[in-house]
Amino acid sequence: MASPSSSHFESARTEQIISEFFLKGLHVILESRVPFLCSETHRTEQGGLSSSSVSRVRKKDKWFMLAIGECSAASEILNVWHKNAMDPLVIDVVLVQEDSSKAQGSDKEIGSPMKLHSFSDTFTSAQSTSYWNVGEEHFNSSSKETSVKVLERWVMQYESLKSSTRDHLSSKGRGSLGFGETVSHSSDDPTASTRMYKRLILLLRSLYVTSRLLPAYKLFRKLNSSNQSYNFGISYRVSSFVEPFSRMEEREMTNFRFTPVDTAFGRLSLSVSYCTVLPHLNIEDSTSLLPPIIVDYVGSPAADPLKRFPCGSLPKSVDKGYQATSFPSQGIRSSYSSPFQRPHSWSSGLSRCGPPTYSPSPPLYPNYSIPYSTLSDSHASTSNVHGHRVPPCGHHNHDQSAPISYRPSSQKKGTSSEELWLTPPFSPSSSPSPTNSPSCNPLLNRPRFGSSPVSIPLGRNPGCVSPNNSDPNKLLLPPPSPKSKRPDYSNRDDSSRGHATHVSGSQESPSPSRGNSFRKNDALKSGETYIGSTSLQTNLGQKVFRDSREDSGRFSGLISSSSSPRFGFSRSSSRLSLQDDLDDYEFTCPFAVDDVDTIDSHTRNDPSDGKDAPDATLMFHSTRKSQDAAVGALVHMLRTAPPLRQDSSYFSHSSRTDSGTGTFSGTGGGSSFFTSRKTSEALDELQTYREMKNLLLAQSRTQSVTLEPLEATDEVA
Amino acid sequence: MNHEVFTLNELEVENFEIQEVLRCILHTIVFHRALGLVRPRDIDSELFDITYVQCGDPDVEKKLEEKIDQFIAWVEKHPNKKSQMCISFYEIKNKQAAWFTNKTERLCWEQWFINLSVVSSKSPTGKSHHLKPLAVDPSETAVEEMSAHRASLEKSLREVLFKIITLVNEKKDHIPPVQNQDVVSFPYEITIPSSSDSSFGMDMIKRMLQTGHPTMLS
Repeated sequence: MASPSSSHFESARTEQIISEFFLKGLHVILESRVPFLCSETHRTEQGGLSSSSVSRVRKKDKWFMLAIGECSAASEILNVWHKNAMDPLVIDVVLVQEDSSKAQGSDKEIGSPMKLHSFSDTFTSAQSTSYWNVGEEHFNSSSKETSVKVLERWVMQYESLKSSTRDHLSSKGRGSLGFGETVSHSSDDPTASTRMYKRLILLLRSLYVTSRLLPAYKLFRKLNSSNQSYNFGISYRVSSFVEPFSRMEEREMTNFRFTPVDTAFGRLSLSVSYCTVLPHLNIEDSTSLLPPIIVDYVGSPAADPLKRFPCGSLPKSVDKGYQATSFPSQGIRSSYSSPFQRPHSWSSGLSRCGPPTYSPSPPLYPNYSIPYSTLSDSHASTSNVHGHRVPPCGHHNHDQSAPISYRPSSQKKGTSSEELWLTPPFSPSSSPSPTNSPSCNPLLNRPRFGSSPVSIPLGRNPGCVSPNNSDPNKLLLPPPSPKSKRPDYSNRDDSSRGHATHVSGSQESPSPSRGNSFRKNDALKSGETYIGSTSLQTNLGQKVFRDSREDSGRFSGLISSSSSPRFGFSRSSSRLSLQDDLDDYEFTCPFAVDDVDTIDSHTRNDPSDGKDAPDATLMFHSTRKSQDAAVGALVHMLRTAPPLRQDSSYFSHSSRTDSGTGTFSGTGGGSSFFTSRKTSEALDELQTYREMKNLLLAQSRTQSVTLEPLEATDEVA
Repeated sequence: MNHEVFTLNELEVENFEIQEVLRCILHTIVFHRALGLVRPRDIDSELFDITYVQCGDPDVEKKLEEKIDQFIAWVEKHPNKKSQMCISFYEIKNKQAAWFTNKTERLCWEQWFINLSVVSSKSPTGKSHHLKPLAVDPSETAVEEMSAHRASLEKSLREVLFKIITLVNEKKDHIPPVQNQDVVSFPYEITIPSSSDSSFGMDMIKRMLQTGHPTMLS
């Protein structure tokens, strides 16, 4: 015979286990049926528990060895329900669907009608059953009719053994309650609670798996994961009364009963009745039925500040704990008055007081939540008799960019309506437009893609066009070819487009990098030859160019190989346009000033050039002029503006913008700008240039005899 | 201690469906036997409109995947055959130490037999021998057949999963005490038909001799 103290201890322990099972079971059901109700659950942290992570699991979460987080909604429900723990815990998962075809006042429910009893405070009575519900008024006042259908009914009940029966069974040692498992009713058995706990673990596992297998789970997933707005929603109703189904419902329902778990002090039973076939849901975009969401879109000027569920704004009808559950009809009315005006409000069971912590993009459907009272005996203000969205605490992996606003524009009154239409909190990081992220539009973050036009001074070109070049003069370099520019665009799509659009109207860049990019862009439009020449240089003397200075090495290399840089420039324009691998900002301009100096030194060092007569000097100056002219032509082409330099002696046809169609005249009298030329053709041209150069040099030698004194003077200088 | 043997209903599957079917069944069983602290993972089946639950232990998932792959490999070598996969749960007990050894005994306390009947594919592009040359539109007929087969299989699979839940809840007394904090509290083993032995039963007989428990087919 068990001692009274040990029996009492075991009884208390058993009750605690049973209470925790109810809590966890309710949590499992709600979090798999009502979107965003129990957002503190594990869903975002699914996965195994390593030895290190086990320690981080909260103690409360370790109950029944199932770490699924916590659900404050379930806790609040049970805070009240436990007052009458002998009653079953009935959880109805209901489908609330918009039904505009039905007239007001008529029976609007598909399934069993909602019990429209006024709430009484008899809930505290152990002998009475309570039924949380909503007043009738809201149906009548609803502008849109809603139909309610019970999808599932979960019933959890712990039947406590009468003390007499318990003693009788314990005296016999082991016994059976008639069906179910045999259980040791001896409260002295230390393993009894352990076995019971293990069985409850298995039962909870089965409950978890079952909740995922039932048809209603699909609906939940759809609502939970989609940003669409639907004309239906899922809510729940918790009561302690098993309302009988109608005949029609019974035909549609299938019952699954879990094996009860017997304890020394009672029996825990769990069953579920569910619709095997879901009603046909017209999953449509119901935005046409609703006020413009954009109006309330977070971040929009017209959006009202999101109002959180105010703790103190709830109906004052709540006096005490359980009375807080009574749902004020007015509030309900208002809540139902515009369920479809707030498509993004979504039904749920409970609301929580306090600032919502997170508001992911919800499944947008009207808030039809069947009245499920939020329960808080100590926080009357937190109670929200009508189910509404519970601001989730945890993070959700939803896209936050969906326009979600749960506040109907018409809802300006009544805290109850605000309860129902409580706007889930948007996270601070959510932005109205997902496309405004810097990653999507780096152009905006790139000051160098400015919009102010920039004039390109000529003749002052340093070699390197580097984004990091702080020397504004280096911005003067002609931009590379469009294709060489491509890496920039590919990396920043928006920026590239913006860049292109800003070319013509670009302004003074506040930073060198910006100017670099801008000037390069200029070349894109007007400097195909310009670019091409550089490309050609790179193509032909790439090794040479790159071996030397980045800036002028290339150019100098080219100049040394060609006596007619202008031709080289012009002919290389097309080549440059084909060079995708050019480093834009390290692109060396053949027209760089430094290169000019290099050219000068090269020409002077060249034995052939060393005999330069004034003709060579003239040649040099003419070359220089051609470079500038090419720059000007490029700019002109880019801007379609008057050329910067009116040196059209060599580029009389420089205004041609057609790419790939011009032909090189081969003379100094004209040139065309090509955007595409074959390498072989470019090489041929180069060869031609070289020949011309040699010819010119030969000519200069003949004249050098008469100019030797002058050369000597120059060399000394 | 009782030794429970549960035989699940046979499922008619095609080759490409074996993996998902076995995943649903094996993970459901293991989840109910993972009495350690678990953080469940809801997995949506790739082929069926079913969400099954994993225990979240990567080692378990890896082991199950390996066994499933081995089973599929065996099926490919033995096409159009009825096959069976068995998952057994054991309890490690220390035998009475002999005078020079300390032997541990592995006692099987539960077995689940998963019966599959692998059929050839009947897809339009498949290589089924049963494809009839229809004058109308063979592809549409085959697609309809596939859809019907898929729906039927999904329904049967759900029934099997509910059967597992029912059996798990009905029979609990035979479960040995949990002796460790592992996710899957009991050692388990998955047996597939041996590729070298065409007789799947021979493997089972061998195991029976090892464990010392006769197989009771229910």
